[in-house]
Amino acid sequence: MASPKVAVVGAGVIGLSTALGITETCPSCSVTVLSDQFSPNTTSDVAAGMLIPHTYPDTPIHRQKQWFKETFTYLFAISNSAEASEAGIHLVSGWQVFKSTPKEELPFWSDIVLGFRPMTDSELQKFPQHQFGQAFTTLKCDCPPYLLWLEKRLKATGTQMYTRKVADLWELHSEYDIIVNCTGMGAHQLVGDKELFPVRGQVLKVHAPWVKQFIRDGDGLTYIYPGIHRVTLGGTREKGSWSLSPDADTTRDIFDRCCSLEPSLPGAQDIEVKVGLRPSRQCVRVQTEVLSQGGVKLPVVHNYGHGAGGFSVHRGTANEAAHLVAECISALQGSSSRAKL
Amino acid sequence: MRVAIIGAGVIGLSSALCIHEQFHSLVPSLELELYADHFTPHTTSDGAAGLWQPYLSDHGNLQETLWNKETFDYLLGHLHSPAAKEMGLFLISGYNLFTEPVPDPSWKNIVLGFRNLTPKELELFPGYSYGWFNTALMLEGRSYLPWLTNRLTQRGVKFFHKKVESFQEVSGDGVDVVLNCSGLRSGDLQPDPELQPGRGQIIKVLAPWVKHFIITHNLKSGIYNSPYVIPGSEFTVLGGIYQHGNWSEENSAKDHKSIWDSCCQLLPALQKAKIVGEWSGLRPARPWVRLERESIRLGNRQAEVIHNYGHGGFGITIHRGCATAAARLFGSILQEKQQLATPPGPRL
Repeated sequence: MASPKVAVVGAGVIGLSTALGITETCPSCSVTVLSDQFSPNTTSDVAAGMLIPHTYPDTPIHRQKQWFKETFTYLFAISNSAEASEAGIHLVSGWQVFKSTPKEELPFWSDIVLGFRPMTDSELQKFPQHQFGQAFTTLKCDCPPYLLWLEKRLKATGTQMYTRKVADLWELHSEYDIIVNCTGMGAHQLVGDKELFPVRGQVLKVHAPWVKQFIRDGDGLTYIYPGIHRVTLGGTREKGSWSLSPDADTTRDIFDRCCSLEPSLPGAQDIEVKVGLRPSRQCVRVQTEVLSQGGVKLPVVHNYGHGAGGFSVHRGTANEAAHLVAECISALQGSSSRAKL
Repeated sequence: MRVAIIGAGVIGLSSALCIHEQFHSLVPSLELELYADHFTPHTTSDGAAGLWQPYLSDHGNLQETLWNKETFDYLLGHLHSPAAKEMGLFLISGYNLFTEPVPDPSWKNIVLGFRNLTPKELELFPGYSYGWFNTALMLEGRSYLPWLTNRLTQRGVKFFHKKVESFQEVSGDGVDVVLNCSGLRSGDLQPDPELQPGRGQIIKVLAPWVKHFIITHNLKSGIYNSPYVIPGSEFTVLGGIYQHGNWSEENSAKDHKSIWDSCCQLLPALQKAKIVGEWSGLRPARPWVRLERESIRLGNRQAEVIHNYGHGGFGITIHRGCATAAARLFGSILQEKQQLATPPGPRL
C-alpha cells in the first residue's frame, strides 16, 4: 500500500484538525476531506471557540486534561507567532463568576490556562448577584478565520476538499482505504449513534469592540466572549432540541442576561443571531471500528461527540485519531503483505 | 460670578465640569466660559491612547497617587452606567514587562487583580523576565472629551475658539477666577522653566485580535521609551517614544521605524496589522503637577488664577482627582469673596 487513501468526513474544527493531524502523522497518506458543509456554515462557525473545557462525564479526567493541554499548547504557539491574526487565534482574559461557590473550586484545567486565580473582592463588586469567581487568561479560536487557516494548511499539503453529502460510509469503500468520521451531529444519522444527542445553542454575534474581556457565568448559560471582530453573547443549552431556527424570545433573553453581566452591551450594534447543535455525548468517541459487509472490511476511525467542548480539545483528539489512523494503516499493510505470501 | 477656563483638553473640560457640578446651585450667578485654541479631536488628550496607568513610581508624591486613585474609583463607579460607552470607558487587562525584578508600583492596590506574571506568561515575551498583570480602565479621549463637552454645553457653559495670549485677556471685564488648564502652552501665559515637552509619537493600526495592553519598560531609557501596545475600541496604538525637550509635532521616520520594529518584535502578528494613522504629541511634563492658586495683579485689578497643568503622560489617569482639587480651590476663593453662604453663627 504505497499511498493509503484516507477520507475524512466532516469539515468543522474536528474534521479539519484531524485531517491536518493525519497529514503530519502519516505523510505518505493521501487525505481527502468530504463534507456537506464547509466554513462559514459548520457548527464550529457558530461556536465562540473559547478554550474553556467542557467536562465529559464518561471520559477519564486525565485523558480530557491531556487533550486540553495539547490543544492549548498548540494554539499558544500559534497565538505567539506572526500567523496569529490569520489563524484567528488570540489570548483573552476575563472572569468566570458563580452565584454560589462551586463544589470544585479548582477545575482540572486551572493549571493549563494562564494566571488562574480566585477573583478579588473588588473584582466581585462588579457582580452583585455572584458570590465567587475565577480570573484567568485563555485562548480563543475565531471562526471562520481558524477553519479557513486549517483549510489553507491542508491545501498546502495536497489535501483535496470536496463538498459531498455522505449518506452511508460504505459509499466510500471503493475509493478510500480508511474513513475518518468527524461528522459531529451528523453521526446520529450516518452511523446510527443513539448516544449522540443535540444540545441546541443560540448565540448573538454583535459589534461591541470596547468589550475586551470575557465574562462567563459558571452555570455555562450566560457568557460574553470577545472575538476579533464580534463579541459572542450566549446562550442556551437545550438538550434534545434539533431546531436550527433562531427564536426571537430567546434572543431577547440572552441579550438581557448578558446585559446584566456587562451593562455597556445595550450600545452593541449589528446583532446577528446564530444557532448550532452541540454534538453531545457522555464521552467523546475517539475509537477505531472495522466495519464488515459481505467479506469486505472498512476501517473507520471515529472522532465525534465533543458537545460543548470541541475547540477546547480539538487538537488532542485530532492527534489521537491520527494515531488510530496510523495503526489502521499498519494493520492494512500487515495484512496486505501477509496476502502476498 | 464669571469663571474663565483656559484649555479644552481633559484637564480643562473636567475641571470646568467639576466646578459647575459643585457650585452652580450654591452660586446662582455662576457663569463659565471656556477658551481654547484646540478642541477635540485636536487636543493632546485626543492623541493619548487613554489607558489609566500612572508612572512606575510617584517619587514620594503621595498627593498624585491619591488623585490617581480618586480618578480610578470615579471611573470604575461609572463603568456600569449607561453613559460608559459614550464616555469611551471600558475595562481592559494587560501586561507590564521588565528585564529585571522591580518593586511593586504605588497603584498596585488601585487597579483590579494586580499580580506578578507566571513563568508561562513570560514565555510570551522573550527578553522579559519579570512583569505584572492587572485589570485597569481605558478612557478614550476621542469619546470622553465630546462627552464632557456635551455635559458642559447642557449646563450652559460657553465655548470660545481662540488662543489666549495672557491672563489679562480673559480676566478683564468682570471675570473673577481664571482656571489655567493650558497644558504645555502654559509657559506662554506665565514662564515656567519646569514645564517641558515630553514628545511622543504613535502609530495607529488595525489589530482587533489584540485584547490586552502590553507596556514594556526599560529602566535605563525611562518611561515610555520602550515599546507599548494599547488596544482601543477602534484601533490599536503602538508607541514607545518619550523625548524630553523636543518641541516637534512632526512625525519622525526614525521614530516610526523604532516603534514599528520594536512592537513587531514584541507581538509578531502585528506585522500583518494595517497602519491607519500616525501622530505626534507633546506631553506637558513637569516634575510634579502644578495645582495651586495664585493671585495675579492685572492693572488695578486682582484676579485669582487656579493653575492645573503639567500632567505629563498621566493626564487621563489623574484628571478627576485634579479636577476636584481645583474645585476645592475654587470653593476657598468663593468663601473669601463671601459668595458662599456661611452658616449663621454667633456674632463675636
